[in-house]
This record gives sequence, structure tokens and C-alpha cells, in this order.
Amino acid sequence: MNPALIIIILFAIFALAVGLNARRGKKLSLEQWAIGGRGFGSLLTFLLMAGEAFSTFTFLGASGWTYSKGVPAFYILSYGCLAYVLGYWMLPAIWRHAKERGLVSFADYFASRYESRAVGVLVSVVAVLAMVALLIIQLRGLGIIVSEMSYGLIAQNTAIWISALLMVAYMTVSGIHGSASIAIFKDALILGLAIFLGTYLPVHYFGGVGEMFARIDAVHPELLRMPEHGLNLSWYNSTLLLTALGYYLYPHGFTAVYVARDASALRKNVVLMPIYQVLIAFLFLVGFAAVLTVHGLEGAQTDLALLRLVKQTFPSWFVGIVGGAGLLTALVPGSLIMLNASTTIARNIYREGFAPQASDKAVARIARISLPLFTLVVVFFVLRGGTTFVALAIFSSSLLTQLVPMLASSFLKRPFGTREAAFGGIAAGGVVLALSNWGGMTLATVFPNAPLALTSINMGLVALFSNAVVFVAISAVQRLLRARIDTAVESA
Amino acid sequence: MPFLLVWNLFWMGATAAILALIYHLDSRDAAAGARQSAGGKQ
Repeated sequence: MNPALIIIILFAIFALAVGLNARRGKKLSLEQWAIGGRGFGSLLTFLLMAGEAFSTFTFLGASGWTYSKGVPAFYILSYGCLAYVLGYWMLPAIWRHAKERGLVSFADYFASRYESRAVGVLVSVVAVLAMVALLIIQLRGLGIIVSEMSYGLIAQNTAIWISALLMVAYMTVSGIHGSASIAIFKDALILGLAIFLGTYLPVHYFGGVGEMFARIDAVHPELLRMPEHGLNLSWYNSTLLLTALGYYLYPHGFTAVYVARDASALRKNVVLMPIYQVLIAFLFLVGFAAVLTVHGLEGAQTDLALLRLVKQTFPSWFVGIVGGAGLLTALVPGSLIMLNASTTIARNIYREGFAPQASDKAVARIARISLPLFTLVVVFFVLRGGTTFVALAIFSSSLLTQLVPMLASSFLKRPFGTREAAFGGIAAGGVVLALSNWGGMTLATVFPNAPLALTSINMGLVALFSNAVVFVAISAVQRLLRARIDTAVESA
Repeated sequence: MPFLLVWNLFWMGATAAILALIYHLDSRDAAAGARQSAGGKQ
């Protein structure tokens, strides 16, 4: 049997054992199962949030985009920095509110802040749809990694089925404790591998990082310069802003805030994250090293740059270790997504939408039943095929980012945003996104004579701007009308 | 190395350093506040 295949299978068995063992000694209520009873210290909170930030999108997408597009890929490095600055003040505020009100799911926060069950259901629907897309990315990435690194001995579909069953097993049993236990090994492994690959490969093939860039500059200078059209500076800055604003609005990242024991754990986490993210820079170096050494990858196949380079450079056992690390990289965020989707379905769609009298025990049961069902639906979508990682991630990020005006308004001491404005804003943003994704609308088609700097702006940001305008306008009109009615009643 | 990569790495280091400083100041203020309120109770 191929050594790579044996090592990948060992990694899978190890993940299952660690995930199942994580439950030992714990009685799991819904709060314990979904958010670890709000008892995680700085290290576990960091590992969960880092696990969410470093997914297969980063593992394959960062090197794949560098390989095919060059410099524009650096946006993946930039947006985190901007997001962490916002997070330093935002996360403790979210955590305090969640603790005071006993919130468990992503949608709970919005329902509680806007004191509206309808808002809870609306946010849940947006979140569950986005989580379908996010889990598709993880599972598809996982399928590619395992199939590629087992030299094709495990088919992509087989890898996806086995991993989905694996995640369902340990998440149903251990909940978030399963994810957190695997995250410890995953982060240590991925940190070591990214640094090793990013430093070793340029030296091995070119004699050093400087020499590698000199060679690329001679052969493919376009990869080292920001293009004037398409993914240009305007696109770069607008995508950076969009993804930074939406960074904490991934449901599984948002609820990772709830697990913290205190606000200080979250602040420490935000301070450490920019340093942790430096490892993405090492993946860029791997992508650049692949430019002149891995040939023939086009379109969606460019995501394979890192895997192909590893395969052509290292012996089979090392290929297996990279494949195993890739497997863990998909399992941690993937299982967190499943957990959050099932909690949201049970608490916010089932209870808030259909059964307000349901007991906590019944909701916990529905959550555990929803987890395999949600996974089954996603596996179905994964096996049907589709677009590449980055396009999917940007789309789902845009969809979730439509919640930014609601989130921003929730931090104000004097409430401003209304639930009607929330619905109106999301509808406006959704229409722009739909027209852009399926109607082919761009700023260039709407404003044909506008300068390139304007027409290259990411449409997700345009959707967010439309959303914010509608949100503020409806809220302002409602507040004005309410004030007038109050005055009229008082004078009568 | 591309300038944009170096620029990004510089700002990541700077962000971590500035946030660490703010965290240190916040923690110091919180500890001082806690000491003050404990003294007031006595």
C-alpha cells in the first residue's frame, strides 16, 4: 500500500479518535455542545478562531491564486489585519451581550439586539444559506486534497463521503469540544508545514527567495505587478474592505466568540492573530515557487499548485503528511460550520419560526438531528460540481456581509436601526448581489462612462453600500414618524 | 520580494504591536479600577 495513503488514513482515524474522546467527562447540554459552556480560555479560543480563519480556502486558495494571478492574491493577507483592529473592540461587546442573554447561535445575537423573532429567522436563513456554500468549499477542498495526495487511490467523492461521516460522528457526540481538540493538532502541524514549505521550496528550486522573484520577473513580470484592468488596485482595495467588514460575520467565527471564558481571552486572541496570519505569506511563496516549476494548471485546477509542487518534490510519506494536514484543515472549520448550521436551524428556524414553546431539551434534540441532515444536503451539492474556492468564498462573504449595517447599529448606546430597516437593507443588498451574480450587472454596465477606478469596485461592496443607505433611510424615517406621533399624542 | 507583500507584512507586525500596547494599557487601567473599587469598599 502507498505510504501516503496509509498516513492519510491514520490522520483520519486519529481525528475521529480525538474528536470522540473530547466528550469524556462532560455532560453536554445545548450550551455545552454548541459553545463549550462559555468556558474556553485564551488558547482554545485562539485555536478555534484561528481554525476558522485558516481553512482549505487559505491552504489551497492562497497558493493557487498566487500561482495564477500573482500580486492581487495578497488581499487574503491584508484584510485580516484590518478586521482584527475592529475585532479588538467589537468582540468583547458581542461576548458580553451573548453572556448576559445566554445566546448560543449566530442569529440569536441579532434577534436579541433587535428584540425580534422575525429578524432572528431572517438572519438564520441568510446564515444557513451561506454555511451551505462555506461547507461546500471545505468538503470540495478536502476531496481534492485527499484524492491528489493519495495519488488518486481515494476518489474525491469517496473522500468527501468518508470525511462527512467522520465529522458527523464526532460532532454529534462531542460538539464543539471535538473541533477544539482537533484544532490543537491541526494548527501546530499547519504552522510548521507552511513555514517549512515557504522557505524550503524557493531555496530548493531557485537558490533563494530573491532569486525566485528575479526569475519570475524575467518570465512572468505580470504576476508581480497589479494589473490595470480586472483585479486592479481598485478591486483590491474594495475587496479588502468588504472582506474585512465581513470577517467576523461568518457564523462559525462569530459564535467562536461566545466560547471565551472572559473578554480578555478575546483581546489576547486579536493581538496574536496578525502574527499567526504571517504564515499565509509562506503559502504565497509556495504559490510563486510553483509558477515556474508546475506546468499546465488552468482555471479551477490552479488550486492544485501547492499539492502538485509537494508531490513532485517530496517522497510519498511526506506527501501523506501534507495530505493529512490538509484533511485536518478542512475538518476543523467544516465541523464548526455543521455545528453552527444545526444550532441555528434548531434554535432560530425551528423554535423561533414554528415552535416557540419547545423546551431546551427538544431544541437540543432537533440540533443533533439537523447536523447529519444539513451535511447530507451539502454533500449532495458538492457532488454536483461548481465554481472555484475563491469565487464561492467571495460570494458567501458578500451575502453575510449584508449584515454589517445591522451589526454596526447594534453597538450604538442609543438604538437607531429598526427591524423593518434591517429587512429593507438586506433586501436591497440582496437585489444588487443577485443582479450582479445572475444578471451580469457591473458598475461598468450601469455607468459606461465612469473611470476604471470606479467600475472595478467589488460588487459586494456596492451591495453593502446600497444596503446601508436603505437601512439608515428607513430607520431615520421611522424614528421621525414615531417622534411626531409621540408629540401629537402628548399634545392631545 | 514584491513591495506589496513587504508592505503587508510590515503592517501586520505594526498592527500586532499597536494592539498589544493597547491591550497592556487597557489591562493596567482595568487593574487600577479594580484596586480603586476594592479600596472604596473597605
